[in-house]
Amino acid sequence: MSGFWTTDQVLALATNTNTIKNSRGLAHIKYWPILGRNHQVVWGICQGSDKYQVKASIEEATFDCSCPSPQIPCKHIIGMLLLLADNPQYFPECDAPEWVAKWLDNLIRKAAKKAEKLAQASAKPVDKEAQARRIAAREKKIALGLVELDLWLTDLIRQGLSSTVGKSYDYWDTMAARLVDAQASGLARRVRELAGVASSGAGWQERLLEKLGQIYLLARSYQNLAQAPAGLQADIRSLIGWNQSQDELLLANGLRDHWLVLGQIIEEDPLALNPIKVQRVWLFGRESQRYAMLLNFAVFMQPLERSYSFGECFDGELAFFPSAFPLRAIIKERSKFDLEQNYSFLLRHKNIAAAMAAFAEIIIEYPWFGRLPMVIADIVPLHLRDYPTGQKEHFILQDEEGHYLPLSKEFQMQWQLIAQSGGHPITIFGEWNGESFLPIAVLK
Amino acid sequence: MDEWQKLISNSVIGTSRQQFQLSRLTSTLHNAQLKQFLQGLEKLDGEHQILAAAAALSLYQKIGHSPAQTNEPLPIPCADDELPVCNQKVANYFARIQGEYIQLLPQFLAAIRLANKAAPYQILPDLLTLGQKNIHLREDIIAILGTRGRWLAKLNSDWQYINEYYLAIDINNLTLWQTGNRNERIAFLKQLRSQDAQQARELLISGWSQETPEDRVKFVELFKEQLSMDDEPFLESLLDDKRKEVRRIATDLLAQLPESRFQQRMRARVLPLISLKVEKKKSVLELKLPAECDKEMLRDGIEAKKAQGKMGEKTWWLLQMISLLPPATIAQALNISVTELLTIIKQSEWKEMLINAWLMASERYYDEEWLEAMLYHELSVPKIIQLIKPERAEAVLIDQLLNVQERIPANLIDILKVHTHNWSERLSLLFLNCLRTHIEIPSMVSHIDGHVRNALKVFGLVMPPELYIKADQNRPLNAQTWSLWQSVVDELVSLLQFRYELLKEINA
Repeated sequence: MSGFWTTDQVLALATNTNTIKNSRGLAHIKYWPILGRNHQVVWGICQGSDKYQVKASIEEATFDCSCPSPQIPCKHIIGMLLLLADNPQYFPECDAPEWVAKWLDNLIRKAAKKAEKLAQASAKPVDKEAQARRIAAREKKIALGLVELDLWLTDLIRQGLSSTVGKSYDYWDTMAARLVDAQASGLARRVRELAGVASSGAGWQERLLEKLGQIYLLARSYQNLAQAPAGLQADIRSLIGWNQSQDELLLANGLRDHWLVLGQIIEEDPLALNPIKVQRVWLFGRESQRYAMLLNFAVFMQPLERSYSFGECFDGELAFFPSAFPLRAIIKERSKFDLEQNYSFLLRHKNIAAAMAAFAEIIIEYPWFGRLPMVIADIVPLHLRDYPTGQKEHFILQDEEGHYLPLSKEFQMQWQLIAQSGGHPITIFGEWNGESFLPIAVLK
Repeated sequence: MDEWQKLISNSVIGTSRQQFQLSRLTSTLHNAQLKQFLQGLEKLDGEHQILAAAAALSLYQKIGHSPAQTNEPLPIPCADDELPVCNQKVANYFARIQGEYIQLLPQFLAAIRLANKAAPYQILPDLLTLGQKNIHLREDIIAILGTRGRWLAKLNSDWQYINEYYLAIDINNLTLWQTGNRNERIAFLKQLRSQDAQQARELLISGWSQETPEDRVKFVELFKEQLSMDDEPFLESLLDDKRKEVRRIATDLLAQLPESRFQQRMRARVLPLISLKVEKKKSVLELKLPAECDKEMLRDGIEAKKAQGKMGEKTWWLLQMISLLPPATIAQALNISVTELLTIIKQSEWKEMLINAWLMASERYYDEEWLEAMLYHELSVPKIIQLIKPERAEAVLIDQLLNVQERIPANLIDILKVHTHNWSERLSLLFLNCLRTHIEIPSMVSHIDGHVRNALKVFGLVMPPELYIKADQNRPLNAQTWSLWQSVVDELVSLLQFRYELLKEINA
């Protein structure tokens, strides 16, 4: 039975382990005198100490429960979905009862409203004048911010990088805060990041100079934006801090394909002012032979919309954010999720040298490029003791030519990867950031 | 790249102290485009020249960067597994055991071992780390590592204990015994002991005087296996060893050899102190205390000073001596059955001391008749249930449950709790029945209910997992206090069901 979530996916929805614990007991038919589903929703009445109406739209990953818990999804929702994962036979296909239909109507109405708004946005000419005024005001602020940044950078080089030794985070944060005021949040973020670079141990001078060079280049590029090609212009604008409106994006033509999920990375954004979970989902299109990345956010304690795992797939249309190397996308439209059996269509590099050459090609066009998704065939994960750099131990991926890449320090499953490979060459999908490789999936 | 290094050093010092000269970079550059770009910076001030050059050079390096290369060939990969490897779902269950059901870990390992399979590859690192910290889990972990796990263990120094275990031991090659490290020598002697007990003993004796006290302890412990009267002269000599731990192990082993000189001495000390006399037509046990703890007694491991408690010193000596004899020794000497002896001591002031001594003796020396007699008299039942064979324990518990009239008495829960062998279906169903009745009959004494509820967590580990359906149907929904029981019954059902599905997957 495809289309339903697996137990693991359901558990991934839960925001904390207590919900998981409490929901486990509820995943039992005896608590559910009424259960049902149609092509859109799954519902049930949970009869515990109280009676609750639980409904879930699997496709839209939208849930609702009449219980008073502030957690969404609550234990009743998770419990019902766990039961569904293990025993779909308990959920007969039937007409939705009134309370479900009502909720569904509401959902549809909301979606329609959103679509309407979108249509209006495209139909109704916006107050161009007002918009232009707003943009001009922001441009002015940014321009002033860039002048200030330039002075700060010049002063830093004049005093020398050694002058930053012993300086507190305030030194960096003050400049970053000014850039936030100047509405250049992207640049602010890069400046804030410098504090960590400056205290990153041996070789910090080189890393700091490299980052300063990048910031300088970005600021200068923005000042000369018109000279850049269109895609790169969009990159530079977004790196400075301009947001691309998703509504606008949805109006443009997307890319229709059969998309394979390669995996996801969930991390806390350390540089965000408020704790936030960031989910990067990597996709690969069968016909277009292109990668795409979905970026989702969830504020602290809230669940991510959906958990993705390697091998899932859907047919659909993605809208890409404009870029010199478009990767980030949003889903305009898609079919139900299914499981892909054959992923021989995946693009793969035959060795490390080929993968690195591909990376070099991209940074020529796009110097600030962050992470390149790639599949490298026939590499062996290894553990080295007494690594030449003086680190006590080190994990690498080595190919048959003897080339090797260090594994990312973020990656915690080094030994599992080695156990899985058994010293045999394996094919790995992951991200290369110019310094280290972060494995995301092992292709069987 | 030299130019990059020059740029770094200038920017570290700062232009206020060292003027930046663009020509220092461009003069040595080979790449014409890069050179041209840098020369184009002439119009800028020194600070901006550095910033722009930093952007250009670091990018130039990144683009031209070729991955590091080594001449080291790839290591030889791991051979194929001999055992069938458990599937991915078993790995998922393992993750849940670590998160929610850690008490099931020993069962999980044993079940894979029993199925004669190897653990799924992904969980091998976690298993190896668990074995490093938990010695009691090692044997099962080692059994399910498979070829892949043993291969993996060699790569991480934290997991070396596995390699020592797998040391190929050739008992005909004495080099390992003569030159090996402590663990290797223990492994060698253990192997030899299991194949040729006599040769192992003679080998050990030949170099005994040179062994360190710590090693002696480890070596003597190995004599538990294949213990016989042939070991007696050596063990007897160890009573004079300098190390207390060595002497303690020796007395422990000698106590298991009824014909040993040690046992004879103990009998000679204890039996004259005990006699029967008839008072008012009833047999009464007469007991004299030893007058002193002499040197010979000290040599035989009797501790003169008592740690704590209100027992007198002399009683303490006697207790220790009785505990070193097989539990039925006194009854035999008095020419009565153990049951009779237990009847006689029921009123005796020495009852507590004697029973304690015999319980200690029972851990060294298994005597079914004595254990049965204890059960017959309902003495120290929880302890006896632990000592006696599991089938017998089952029978006793079934009997007791059959006699439960209404609510389950607290002491029966205590006994059930120590029966940690897998319960039979009959015992489990009987218990579930009693539990239902127990819940249905409300009581003012609610602390017993708390006791029962706690115990359910333990029972769920040993009941046959396939009973989860019956356990689930066993819900007195109309009972007054049902709401207090619902969640623990849910937990019991979930635990059983989890175990059921886990086993199904392991044996798939």
